[in-house]
Amino acid sequence: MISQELTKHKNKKMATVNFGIIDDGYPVTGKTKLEFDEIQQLTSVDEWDIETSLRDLNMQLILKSIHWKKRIHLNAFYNPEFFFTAEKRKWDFLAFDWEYKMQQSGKSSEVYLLEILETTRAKVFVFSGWETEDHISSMISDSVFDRYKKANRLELLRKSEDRSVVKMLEKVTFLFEKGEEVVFENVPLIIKPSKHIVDSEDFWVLKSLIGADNILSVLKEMNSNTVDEGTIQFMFEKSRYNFFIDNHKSILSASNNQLINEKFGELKALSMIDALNIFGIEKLEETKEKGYSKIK
Amino acid sequence: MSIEILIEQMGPETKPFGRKPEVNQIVPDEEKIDFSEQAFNAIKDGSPEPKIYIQLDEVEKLPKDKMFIWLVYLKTGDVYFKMIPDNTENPEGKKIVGGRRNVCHTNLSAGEKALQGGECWWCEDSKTMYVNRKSGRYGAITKAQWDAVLKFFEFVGYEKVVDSNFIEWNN
Repeated sequence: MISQELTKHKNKKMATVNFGIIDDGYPVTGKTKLEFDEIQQLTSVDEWDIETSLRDLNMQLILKSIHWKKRIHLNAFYNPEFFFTAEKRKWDFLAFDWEYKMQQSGKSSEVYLLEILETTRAKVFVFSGWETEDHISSMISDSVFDRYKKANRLELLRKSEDRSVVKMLEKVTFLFEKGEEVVFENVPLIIKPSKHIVDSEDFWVLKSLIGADNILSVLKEMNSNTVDEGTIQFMFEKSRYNFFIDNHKSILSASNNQLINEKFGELKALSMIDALNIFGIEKLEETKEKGYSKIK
Repeated sequence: MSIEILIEQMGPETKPFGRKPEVNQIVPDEEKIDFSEQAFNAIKDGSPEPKIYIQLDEVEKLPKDKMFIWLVYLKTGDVYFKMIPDNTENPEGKKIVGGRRNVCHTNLSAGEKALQGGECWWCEDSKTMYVNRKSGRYGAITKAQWDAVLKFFEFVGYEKVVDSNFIEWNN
């Protein structure tokens, strides 16, 4: 009976964004593909030469991803050949440089761009230097690209323009913040990323602290099907549970008991909403699950 | 000291979170799936299985990835003492929205009452058990209960038992 109930929600969609960058402007040699951590390390070196926009794009994406618990996946490929030989992924966005110092296949960038558009479902930003812009504009004015432009899957952005990086980030943010559709206890919900939980991966923390029935009853009271910062705050405001804290703010406890009192003195009660706003949702879950946790 | 007295001192048995009435006490179905058969039976002493042990230079830190959770409970009149690595995955929890991905103490009790629970680490080199009462579901709340827990570990055969409840306060 349990397993039947539990398998109802197998088809959940994760709230992740996959961003790939195909560019040989990275200050690294001998690499075909760069992973998130490698890119993060590279953003702190000074050898980017003229590729300041590329560095800025990488830096902004990494900052945004870290803010959202690395749910924005970032990979880079040194040229299009390496992109096509790498493991396939469901790309949401690809930034594609037009010019490469070394390409062995002899294929033109125009051919590669078309292959990328045909074989992925990504929105492709042609992200290149200003000196090639006229050439690129003329190349992608070819009718073979029309359907991709019409589908809003192809956009030309100058590396030299500050707004280019901002535009890409806006698109990433818009997609990510649309949230994730899930079915929870047979009720369709949308989980929007917030400072409390990012997506369904984190949802168990909310369920543990508030309880499934309370989550659903608060949403019903708010006439909402969206779990976001506002509804989570309201769930904690409505909660009748408590945490406890000592005068020196050393320990957060799930109960006021003899063993804690002996070591830390008298505890005072802290409402759920205050505890949430002071310590964050993960600390509260740790405290509930373990009975107590260290504050400092 | 007899096992009967230790059981009495560790008790009374409690339902999950029964000693922490101020938190949400509802245990979801996936956290009641019984993993006790997969867990190490610690009732007769011995180095826990699987062999996830801390080194001598780790006793001040007690790394989370080498942590076991432990539970003492009664079932049909017998005493059970189980340990399972904290990072043991709960496949059913992973399948559902809002499911806890790893096992927790109620996965050893099948959601039923238990006497005591917490976390522990085993150092094979020094044959020492480092133990705390960190279980929001079943952990000790009185000195008498905690003293009995330490005596229980010794009773079943762990000769060196270290109270590591506040180890993180030293770091």
